[in-house]
Amino acid sequence: MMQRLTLAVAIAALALGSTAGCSRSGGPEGPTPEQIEAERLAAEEARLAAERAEAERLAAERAAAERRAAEAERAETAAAREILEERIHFDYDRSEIRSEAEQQLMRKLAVLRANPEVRLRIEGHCDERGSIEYNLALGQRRAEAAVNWLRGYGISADRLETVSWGEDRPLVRASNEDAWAMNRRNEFRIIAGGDRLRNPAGS
Amino acid sequence: MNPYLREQLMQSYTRLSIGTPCRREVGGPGRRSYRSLSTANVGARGQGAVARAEFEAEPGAGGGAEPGAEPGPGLGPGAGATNSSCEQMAGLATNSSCEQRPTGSCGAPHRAGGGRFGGLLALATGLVGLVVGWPAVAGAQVPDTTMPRGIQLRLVYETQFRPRLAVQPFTAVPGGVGAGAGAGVGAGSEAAGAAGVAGAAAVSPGLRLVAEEVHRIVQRDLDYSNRFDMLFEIPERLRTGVGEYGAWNALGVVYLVTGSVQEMGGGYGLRLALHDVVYGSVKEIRQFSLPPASDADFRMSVHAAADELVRWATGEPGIAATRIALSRQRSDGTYELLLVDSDGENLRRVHTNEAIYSPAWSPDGRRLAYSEAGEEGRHRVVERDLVTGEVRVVSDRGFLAQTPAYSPDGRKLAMGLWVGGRMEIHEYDLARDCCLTRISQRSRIDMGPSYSPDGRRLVFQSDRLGNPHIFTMPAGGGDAVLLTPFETGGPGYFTSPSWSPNGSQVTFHGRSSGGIFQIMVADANRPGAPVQQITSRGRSEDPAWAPDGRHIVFSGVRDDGMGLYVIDTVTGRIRPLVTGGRFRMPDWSPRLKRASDLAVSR
Repeated sequence: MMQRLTLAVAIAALALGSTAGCSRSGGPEGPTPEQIEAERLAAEEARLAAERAEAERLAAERAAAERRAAEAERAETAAAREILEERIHFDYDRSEIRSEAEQQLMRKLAVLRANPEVRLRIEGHCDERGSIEYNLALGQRRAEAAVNWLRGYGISADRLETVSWGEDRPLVRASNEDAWAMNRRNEFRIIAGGDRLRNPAGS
Repeated sequence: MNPYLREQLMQSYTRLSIGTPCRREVGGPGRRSYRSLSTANVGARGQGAVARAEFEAEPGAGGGAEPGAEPGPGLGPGAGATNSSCEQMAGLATNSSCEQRPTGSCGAPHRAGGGRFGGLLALATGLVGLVVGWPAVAGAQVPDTTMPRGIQLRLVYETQFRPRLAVQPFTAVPGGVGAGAGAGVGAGSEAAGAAGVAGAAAVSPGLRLVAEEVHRIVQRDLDYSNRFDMLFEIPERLRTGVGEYGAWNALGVVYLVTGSVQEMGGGYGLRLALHDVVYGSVKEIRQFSLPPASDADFRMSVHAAADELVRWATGEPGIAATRIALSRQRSDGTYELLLVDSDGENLRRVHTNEAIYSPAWSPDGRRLAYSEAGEEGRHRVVERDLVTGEVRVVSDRGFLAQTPAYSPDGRKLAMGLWVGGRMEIHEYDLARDCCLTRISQRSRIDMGPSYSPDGRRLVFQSDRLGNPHIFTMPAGGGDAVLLTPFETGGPGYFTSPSWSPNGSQVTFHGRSSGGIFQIMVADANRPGAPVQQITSRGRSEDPAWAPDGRHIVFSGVRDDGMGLYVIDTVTGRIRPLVTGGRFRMPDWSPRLKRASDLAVSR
């Protein structure tokens, strides 16, 4: 940069000298003022282009860094969300939390603790067998079983809503043991504070 | 023969018959013995007839007398069942042979007598013998020496006997000309319907169509009452004109219905007559006023007239003039609240919602209570006025409310309400429009209440023993009594109870021995007594009683799909009501129109 500036000044001085010489001697070989001006402009343009390129490089670097950070954040949020939304399943005509469901709830508990602004709606569902009305009540009991478990570990009841859909919203529309086992479940929906989540287990 | 006794016998016709009438086959020997008596009486009343009947009744003589039904003096109604095939039907504790039973194999209980042998009581009692030893009765009077000695007469109360009934095509009578007396049967006249023939030329085709439609409705209503052995194929020569009771009698017909329709005051006059073919006389006759055929009330009015016919014949009105409320889940998962007439006609939508459960009729038949998905899907109980369309929410606190049931006086609405982590039975005071009061306690899920007809008790389901079971308790709250068989760790699972409107029976659905849900019936006054399973095919759920306490509507899955079905608990006969959709949770209305509503101003 400095060199270019020096070069430009030297050229300018030379041009000035030759003009004076010309006026004095009137020799035809020296650059015309137009040429000098054009050269100056070219130099200026090159300088600006270089500056732009540099700024762009820096911006790209910054954006890349930001992207990486956002991606990590998204990944963390997604992981946390996945943990929160993971379904838990129940035995037939039962609302007791099974042992593997307890592991799932334990992970949810950690996420809920790390994200105190998160609120959940827990939906109880049943399989198609039995009376439709009884299943509505059973779904409610399943939803509240999860609420009670989480409350037992200090999660405020204000953060947890419940609703039962009974047998109305099956995950799998089929009438066999596998389908029934899939349909006896709690769904967990994040209803607030879910835009950015910390995942204490990840990173 | 002793005239007093004969009189007694004649009067008892509808109640008593000779021999053991309930057999294994349609039109079995029991019918024959009854009919032979009829024939004898129509042909030659008096001693000869009785003597012949006695002969038919002689054990073995009829070719099918029940060997186990020995005559015994002094046995009154309820004294015990004979070992006829009907008894097996009565004791269908484990599986129902009734469902496969051919129609009409064992008839309806006859209700002409003072005693009421309705519904499952009849089932439980089976073929109750009013078995009268001839000498015991005769001994009280002057002995009739013309009686052959050694022959015994057995009179059997036929709890499941269904008299044969025919409905002659109705005549269309031109207005004005035949008004009044021209409509057919005059009291005492046997020429019912004959008058219509003379004026046939002046009858408009429209009127004839109306007469045909009315005939179709009446005939089907009588069939669906399950109290008659219907004769659908009427010989050509008997399709018009009457007068020859002998010909009807030869067909085994006990009751003949004739009718005529004429234009009257913008609508129609329907004249119906019930002929007692056995006596050879008109038992009842009356004119009913019907609205125009385009009127929404037309079919219901015809149903009410048909119900009156049933009352004439049996002493108790039919249930045709009723509707069933139901819920249907559509393919997109949402629900419709629907109404359908008792004969499966006139299916129509009242309301749609994300979810609509368990509609219940108010005792006046004007309102429906049901639960629907309210805010964020939570069920709440609402009451809808079917006339004005007005809706009010009646579960104003708590979290989740469902399974409403009206008290018989219509002042209270019981329901299952989720409060504090449990569902308990609560009563809402409709009269004061307030005050949900908890009446059950200490359970996890108590729901599905249904009041006894006197309003003093409730049947409901509770899972306080682990699985859902059926309990009864005082309506205001109190000790609950377990009704369904309980086995620790057993597969017992009984839900959706409904208390019979005229007795102590309770119906519900439960897991059968095959693990499939079927309709069951228990006696509310005999906790622990065997529960009767009354369906056996496919899957059957959500039972609700008809106002006669004899029919039950339920939702079922059968080979031909899903729908609502009606079972007659006496004969075991089942008919589809609406099929081809996820029709669920039916409730049967009270009688919505009575014969007295069809007053004729003359």
